[in-house]
Amino acid sequence: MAEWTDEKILAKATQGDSDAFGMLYDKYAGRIYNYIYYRTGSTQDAEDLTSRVFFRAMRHITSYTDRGVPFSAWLYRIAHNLVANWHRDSSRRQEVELEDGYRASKSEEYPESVLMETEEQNALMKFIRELPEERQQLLILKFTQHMSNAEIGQIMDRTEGAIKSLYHRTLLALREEIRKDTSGQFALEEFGKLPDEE
Amino acid sequence: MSGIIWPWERKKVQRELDSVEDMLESVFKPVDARPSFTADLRKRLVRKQGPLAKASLTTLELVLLIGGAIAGVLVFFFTVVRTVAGLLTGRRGKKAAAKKAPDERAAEKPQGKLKTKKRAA
Repeated sequence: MAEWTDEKILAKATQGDSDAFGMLYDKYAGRIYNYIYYRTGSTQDAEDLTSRVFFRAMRHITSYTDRGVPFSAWLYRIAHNLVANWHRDSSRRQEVELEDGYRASKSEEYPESVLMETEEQNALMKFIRELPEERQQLLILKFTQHMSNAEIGQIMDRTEGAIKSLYHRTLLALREEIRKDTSGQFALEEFGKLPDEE
Repeated sequence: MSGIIWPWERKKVQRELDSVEDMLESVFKPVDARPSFTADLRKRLVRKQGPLAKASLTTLELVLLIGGAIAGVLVFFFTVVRTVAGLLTGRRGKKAAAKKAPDERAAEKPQGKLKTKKRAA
């Protein structure tokens, strides 16, 4: 099965071949888990939602049709919908701060993983969590999945140009938050002072 | 903050955006799921064989559906044929009865006539 192409694996999986679906799982489980982890900030929820994504994908794979969108985009859309539902459902609950969840889970369950090393990174993550959902999604896809604007556009159902523009605006917004930050977490010499301070 | 980036600020802004990107790179480090979790989930997915079972079930359902439909059509056809046959034989019986009656009458009448003729004679 090593010589199988993605198309062949997908074709087999859509015919109900569970081994082929297992191969798709091997290929995408890590990426989907990463995506959900950064969207939820909780390892427990990331595991729960990753399971749900693949069970849902398995239930619907026989009706999957190739409409020019990669299979990964189909999976990410399932993940996106489940995460959106999760955010909606958990909006009433008190959410665990990403950095707290990150530290707790990493130190207790994943000692081999890399901890957020600096306060600067923690502060930046806090800013990211305050961004609109679509911007968070864009950053996660770009930096954890290393996707191009075109690939992100396929997942988010936007044009490549729209993603490029959204990314630029997101960077500007983060730059602005960093410049406004008075906690001293950032190396401000890189960013200079705000115009009204000059 | 003004949204305008003046031409003389562009280089500086770009440098700052590059710095933000570097920070983002350092923040979004890939995380590994617990190996036991991924292995367990894979087992559950592959063992369940949902799509395969579903496909077989669908085929079975399809066969049963077609078989049932054929059987239903046959039963209906035979019922119709039987009813039509029953109606036809019923009509024939009536027609036969209807035909028989005049014949019998005719057969009886001449006898009567004969009788009368005989009587007349």
